[in-house]
Amino acid sequence: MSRREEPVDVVVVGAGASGGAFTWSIARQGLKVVCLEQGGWVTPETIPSLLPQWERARARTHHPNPNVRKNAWDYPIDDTDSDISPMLYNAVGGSTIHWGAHFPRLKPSDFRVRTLDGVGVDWPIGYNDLAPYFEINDAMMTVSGLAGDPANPARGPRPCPPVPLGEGARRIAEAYNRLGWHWWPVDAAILTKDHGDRLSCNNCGPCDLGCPRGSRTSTDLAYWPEALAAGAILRTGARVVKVTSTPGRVTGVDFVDESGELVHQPAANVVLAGNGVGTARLLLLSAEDWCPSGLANSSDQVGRNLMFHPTGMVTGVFDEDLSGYAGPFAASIVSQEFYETDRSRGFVRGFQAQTIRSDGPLGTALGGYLPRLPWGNRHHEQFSSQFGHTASITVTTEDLPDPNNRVTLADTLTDRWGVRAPKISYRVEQRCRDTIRFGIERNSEVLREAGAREVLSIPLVSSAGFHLLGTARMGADADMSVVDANCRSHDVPNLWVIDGSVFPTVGALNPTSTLQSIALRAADALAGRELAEVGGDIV
Amino acid sequence: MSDLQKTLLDALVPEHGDIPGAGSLGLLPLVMADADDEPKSRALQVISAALPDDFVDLSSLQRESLLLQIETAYPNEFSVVVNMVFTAYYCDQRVLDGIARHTGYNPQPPQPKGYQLPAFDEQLLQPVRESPPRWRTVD
Repeated sequence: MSRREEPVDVVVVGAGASGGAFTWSIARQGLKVVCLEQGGWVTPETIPSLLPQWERARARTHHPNPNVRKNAWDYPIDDTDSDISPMLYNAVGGSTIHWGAHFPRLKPSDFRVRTLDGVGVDWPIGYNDLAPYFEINDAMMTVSGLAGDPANPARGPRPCPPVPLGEGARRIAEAYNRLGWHWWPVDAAILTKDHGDRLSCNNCGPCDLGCPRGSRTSTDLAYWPEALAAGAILRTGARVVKVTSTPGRVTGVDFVDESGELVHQPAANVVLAGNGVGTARLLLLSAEDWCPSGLANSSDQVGRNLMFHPTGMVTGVFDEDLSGYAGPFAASIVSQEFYETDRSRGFVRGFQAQTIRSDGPLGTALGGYLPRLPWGNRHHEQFSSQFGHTASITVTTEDLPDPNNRVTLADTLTDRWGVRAPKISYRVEQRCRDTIRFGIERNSEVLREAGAREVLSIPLVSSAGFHLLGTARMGADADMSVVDANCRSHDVPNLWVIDGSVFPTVGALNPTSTLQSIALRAADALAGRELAEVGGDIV
Repeated sequence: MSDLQKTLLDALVPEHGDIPGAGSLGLLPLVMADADDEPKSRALQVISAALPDDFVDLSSLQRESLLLQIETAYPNEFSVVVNMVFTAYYCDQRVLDGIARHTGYNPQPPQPKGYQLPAFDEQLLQPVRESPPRWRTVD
């Protein structure tokens, strides 16, 4: 070990959605906190939507899959045994740098799936435990939307009005109305009015590339400036390779800094916020003689129960030009008509139907929402009929925990520092496939009602591993879970996990709002405990 | 070989109106440069090697028929090459300008211009607002 940093109260690993929120809260409560992030800051002028080659960047250097883009600060993931490929980003802001910013909350029933539907497990907390944190987080993330949705519990006025629908979503909304089905404008972490030096969204489309206007919220904009102002320290280019420990207690972390030097950061508390793959990897990498199967893993649950939200897609091709490339691609309307369980469908749990706008020229040609366009003499005819003429609906289903869907350490694949990469082993269960099939049938009806002349579907979007959840789940039973209801390890009382890993089940909704609220709640728990311990470990 | 490959690109994305095919646009060097890792480089090599010497002399329909056979024989490599050619073609400013002439598409980068869209119309929601709560309550 060539360098040792000054001890701190808390070291947070990962500066993404949960790490940013947590660090903001913990710094404001007076604890000395350092956050270590393997990526760096993303500056507005480097965002590809400003560049002529923006679609090439999306397919290469800014691809959401780290195995494709292979940035220097990424780690590879062995996904050769998985039905779904992972998406994640390593930077200040984490995967919120490359997200679509759809921002729903899990519903009350999502926390009680065992009790209500006899599957999965119940959470040790419920919706009401998170309700106050949802409101705080919505304000920090400057959410747009509209209160009053009858498919969700009441919530406060949204900080910004809804994003514009565009022609495709408007037609789909009218179709839902004619069918008598639920729909609502999405809660989206997208500014629809100016906020400080951040500008209102100008509907450019590819939110997933980043937003040079700062309209699409990411935690580097929403949380980090205030966290740093409150005294938090953020070290970028800091790749944590191990959580150090003595029997029953963590002592800090080892990280490799930008110069390649191995550094030890001592801390009274270690908080992991590295997503459902990165956190599990780190816990497994941190095995010692006293915890040979990995840190915090006496239950053998670390890495297990990986959940992704398997997603199908149905796309309508319209005769009319919808200019579907205009507007935030993932944010317009959502239908939760079929969200709650109805056993007459032949399966339990349900799905979210999220309207998606269409793609740019290259995205249209390469496919994704639709199959790739044909090459050859039919190519241009197909391009003309599809480009700007489509609207899509995703059918996002609820994975249930399966211990065989898991993150382990790869046998041979390593990152550039020789540290073992994570390996994901994952199969989509038949219930999800049945749900997707049902959802595609129902939403094909919607698209035809909306006027589509042709409706096409993809039964599983295998590249859509955008939610990495469940691999260090919370629970009351220490034999079946990794952390308790406050995100504190059962095995190691000064170790905390605050990212999507802690979800015992995942609903069928985008998780960021919920996981950030969990992180804020965990920060209160940690700070309350630390500040109450007279003569404790506070630096 | 370069004539063969240029013709291959033209066959994969033929001319359209006043826009030449991908090969005649001069995109071969870009495709070659894009083949910067082993799978892409190998795919381009495999598909190029599968082209007969008289490929440039064949009619459009004959080329397409032959390429279908090659696609069947080397599906993965062919798919990689198609993706590379599409990528080069649809990132070319001349192509984007051509698309813009026929649509409302902005051929410039999405930012800083963006698009104007009408604001959300709450009237659309009236039927939904009148519906009863539909989320399950739990204890």
